[in-house]
Amino acid sequence: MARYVLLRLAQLVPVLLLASVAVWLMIYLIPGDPAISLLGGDATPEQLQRARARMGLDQPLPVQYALWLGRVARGDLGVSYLNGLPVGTILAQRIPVTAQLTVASLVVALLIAGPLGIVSAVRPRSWIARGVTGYNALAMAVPTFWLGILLVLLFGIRLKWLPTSGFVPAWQEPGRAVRFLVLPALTLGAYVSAVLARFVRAALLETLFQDYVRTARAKGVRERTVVWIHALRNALIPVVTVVGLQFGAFMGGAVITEAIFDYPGLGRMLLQAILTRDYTVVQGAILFVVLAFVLINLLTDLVYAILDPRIRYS
Amino acid sequence: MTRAWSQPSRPSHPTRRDFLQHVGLGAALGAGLLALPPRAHAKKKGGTLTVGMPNDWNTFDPHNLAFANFTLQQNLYDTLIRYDQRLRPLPGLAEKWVVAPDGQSVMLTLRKGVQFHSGKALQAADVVANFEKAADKDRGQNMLPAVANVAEVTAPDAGTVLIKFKKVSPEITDLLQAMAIIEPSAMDSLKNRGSGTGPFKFLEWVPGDHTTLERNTAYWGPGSPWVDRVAFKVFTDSDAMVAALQSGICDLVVSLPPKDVTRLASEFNLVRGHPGALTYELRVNGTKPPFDKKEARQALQYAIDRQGVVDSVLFGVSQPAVLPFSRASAAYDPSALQKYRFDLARAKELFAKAGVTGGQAECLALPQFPELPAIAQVLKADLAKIGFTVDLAVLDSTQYYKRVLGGDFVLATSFSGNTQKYPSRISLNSIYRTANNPVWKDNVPKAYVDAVAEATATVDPAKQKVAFAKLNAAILDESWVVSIAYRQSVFALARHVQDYAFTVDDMAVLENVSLEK
Repeated sequence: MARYVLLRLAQLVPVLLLASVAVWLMIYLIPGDPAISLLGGDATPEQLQRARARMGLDQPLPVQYALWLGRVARGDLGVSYLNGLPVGTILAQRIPVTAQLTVASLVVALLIAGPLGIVSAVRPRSWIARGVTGYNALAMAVPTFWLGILLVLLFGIRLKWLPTSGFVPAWQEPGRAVRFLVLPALTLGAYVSAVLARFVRAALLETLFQDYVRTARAKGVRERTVVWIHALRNALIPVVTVVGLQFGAFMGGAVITEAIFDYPGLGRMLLQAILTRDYTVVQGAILFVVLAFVLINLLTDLVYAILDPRIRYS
Repeated sequence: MTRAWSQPSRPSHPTRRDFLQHVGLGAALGAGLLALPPRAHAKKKGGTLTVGMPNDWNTFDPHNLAFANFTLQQNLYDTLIRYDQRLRPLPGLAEKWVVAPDGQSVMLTLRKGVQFHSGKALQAADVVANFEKAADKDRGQNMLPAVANVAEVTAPDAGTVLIKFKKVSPEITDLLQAMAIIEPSAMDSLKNRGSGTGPFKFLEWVPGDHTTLERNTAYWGPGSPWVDRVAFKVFTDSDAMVAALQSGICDLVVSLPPKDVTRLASEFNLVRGHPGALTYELRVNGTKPPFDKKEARQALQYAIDRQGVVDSVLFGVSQPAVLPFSRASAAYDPSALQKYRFDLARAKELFAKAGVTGGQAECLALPQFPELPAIAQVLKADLAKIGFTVDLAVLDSTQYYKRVLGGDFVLATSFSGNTQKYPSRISLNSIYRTANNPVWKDNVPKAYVDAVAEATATVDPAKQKVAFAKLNAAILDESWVVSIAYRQSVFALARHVQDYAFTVDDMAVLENVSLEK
């Protein structure tokens, strides 16, 4: 297992390298000039030229990339062209914010999807199952931004029950953080809950008809134990896959949700960096997102092995 | 209650055109919208004022002079002088200023007892250092052209500054009003923090999220500031910003979208800012067909439904404009509005004279100011009626400005500033530059260049009037910039926010704001 983990970690290096080249090329090919973002729309050509020289943007593209790569190899992601802050500092400000929203959204999704999926699998022809099917269809059809705006209008403006925007760190003020998280987490989690509920239902239905489950029932094991202990654990593997993928996607930033709720996450930061051509920030953020995806995939594989002892990596 | 700076002071240059009628109307409308009962108790001190902003700052350098940074600039720094709402100069960091009879120098007497946020006392040498920074090609930012006429700045003593100009300058007070004073030791860190003498001190900045300032307890303004902290929250979505105001997260919102004015008027105090701090315009590339013909450019003056733009795009929160100069400007000419009415037949006639039939052009617009693409849509619809096709291209700011500053455009909706200051300062806007012009490069129309030169060369009111008339005539004749309407900010305040004020540049003045809750 250790060898497997080390091998997967070693694969990170070429993946990150390829990602950095791809992003570098794409961002530089988009027309635009970070010097303009810095100096504004009335800058003279001479001012722009001097600013570009100060930023090192007058060098050939391969030279710029090589210099950047050399700094990254030494652990230096560079500084933002616009605000001069180290890219590492900027990421360190945003990553925990996005992680908080990601975890909250997935918790919401699982809290909804778990019971719905289990009930609709255990009682597949009941009115509850039909209701769950309706919920799934609705939750998957409703656009995330529309749901977010509705929640803001109802709970934030009309009822004034919950704040419509902002961020409070959960590790500092857990109670207040929950209030600020409810609406954005519901917005993001609703769609995922529908996807997860369908996976839970489908996977559970399949395991409930396995021979070992029939044997357990025949031996007189209580139905609750059959479902929760024997069947559900084996049904979780596809669910873990979806959760892992979604975790990675959310860590990349839910830009629209962050805009609606003024949530200072990675997605909003990355979008702003792209729009202002803050190349170093874009590079640093993309590297982090790629890293996060690879590590989450690895973690997901390890969780498989925990859930199913038959799975062994070598 | 809004409060306009109203300390009278003898102007050091010829009096601006009196726009009392318009200002009075605006003030009356503002007071009517507020409808606050008189305060029955002493003003409250303390609390955190949360201000919703539609953009983040791109620098803490006040010499950048970008509209997006004005609110920060106003509250972190002080300028040498201030303007009241009639553009009459008021003391700022300079208590007194005496312009030499030949108009080629000015002596400033600095206010005593002023400290920077670090505790260091303000001295004349600090002002000199700021002028040196402004004149530096790498550090001057957008103050660089503003100080082009400054020959020398010296400090005869710790409380006196002498500014000498290369030639006579009628723009002295505009320069002093624009010159914010930065603590010299903080000049190298302006990308992400600032230090001045303003009513609030820098505490924290999380880029793209919020900035927090705290009260400057050593501020020279008597009794102010009143709130302990100001938290500026950045919203990338204007609807999220309005929702935050409505849900009570924000006490005050800067730049309320015009579409929300009517809806929120009953619930919040809406304050209309200075009309004409900026002017919306259509930039026309006079070197690219079909607008390389003057008549084709002049046609656009008649093809734009200015009142229609004001009514449908700006929701009535504005006034039409044919020239860039605001009603407070000495170059304001009300007859231009009568002369250049919306007249598609006339526009078609001028197009025909230019040999343009069934033409086509691309129009660039910036989405970060939603009214700009909307104005382009109005123009597109109207020009289509006379057979001219406009293709709208909405670009992000870096692409947009790269093309506009590079002259790589045919039409572009935009706006210009310095429209209420001394008229020749219009040339600080890139599109109005007399050299290095994005459209004309160094072949800017001679009549315009000569008019700007004439306006900057005299302090005689009669000669200035002649020069301003020539300036207006040149702008209208060449029509490479077609003014459309004034931009007027609307500030939305929760009922408990008292004593909010704004400057002629629509900068939010927070030093007297109190939270009566």
